[in-house]
Amino acid sequence: MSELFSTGIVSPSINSELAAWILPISQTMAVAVGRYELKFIEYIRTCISLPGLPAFCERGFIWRNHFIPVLDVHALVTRRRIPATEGEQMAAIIAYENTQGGIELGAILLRGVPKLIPVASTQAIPVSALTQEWHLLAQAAFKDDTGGYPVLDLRSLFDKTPADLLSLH
Amino acid sequence: MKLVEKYIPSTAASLSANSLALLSFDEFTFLVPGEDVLSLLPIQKIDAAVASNSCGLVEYNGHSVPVFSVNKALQLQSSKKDSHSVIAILNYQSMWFSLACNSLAKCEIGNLQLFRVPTCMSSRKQPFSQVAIVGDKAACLTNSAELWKLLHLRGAVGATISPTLIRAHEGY
Repeated sequence: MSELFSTGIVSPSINSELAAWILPISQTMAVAVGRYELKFIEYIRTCISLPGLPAFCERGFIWRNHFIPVLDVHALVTRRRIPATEGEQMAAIIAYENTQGGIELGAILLRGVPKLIPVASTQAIPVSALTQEWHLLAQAAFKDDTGGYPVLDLRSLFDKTPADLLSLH
Repeated sequence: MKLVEKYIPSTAASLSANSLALLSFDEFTFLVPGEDVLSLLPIQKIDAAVASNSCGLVEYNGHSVPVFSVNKALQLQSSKKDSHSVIAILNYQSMWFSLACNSLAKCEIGNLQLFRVPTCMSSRKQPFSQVAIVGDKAACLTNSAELWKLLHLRGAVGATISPTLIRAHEGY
């Protein structure tokens, strides 16, 4: 388990309030979340699956006495699941506000190490500039030299049932 | 303290109101109140299916009871799996139905920590809203009423209890 601010992942040069975490969700795809939305990076040893769910949302794990749902965002947007690897898997534990105003935790499955980058307002692009699958899952978007990133709308992702999420596509 | 005890037919009466039956399937388990479980029969007792959505019938107390087999997607299967070794007979308001499963064990409620199923893992077709972890698997807390609802959603049984349904069931 790694609390972010002791891992060295955070670049000391980032003093700006406007910053985002880049989360690799496949070898070629990455998404972003706000600087303060990502709380921890966790290596998950044991995931459990619930029955009756699509593959992108069927898993969860116990963490600090909470049951944390794990979303495979890559599987959600591509409908293709990357085969699970043996051993630990990395996940970003995020916090979001549910519709009742409470704070809840969720996890996003990672396929690489997240990094915190500064973001300037001049980097903003319209969500509609992203590919179609992100239009209802992103609350904002920005670009840098390597491409455009959707900034995930975490409440839309985690505070909806799988049936509602799938109907967005 | 031992969390789970192997449940065998001769101990059927030992499933009290405070105990749960842990029905194991290949990739998940259901926790059902002990009082909802009438009996446990060996899978060899099963007769061939005579209706869609069930995988056979089993004789219990002079009645033919439908046997259902569910997969990980909670869909009803027309045949049992090779890993199924027992049939759990369940009672919902005097309606009897059964599930084919791998094994059944006894589990004490007080030894479990239950977690609410998060919204992003919820489905109206799930017969549960709380889970516990038993071993390395999710143990989904359900009951015969919720399982009956699942069977209804899958088109295997009627929604409510009525004399017609009871008669239909008895002649199933």
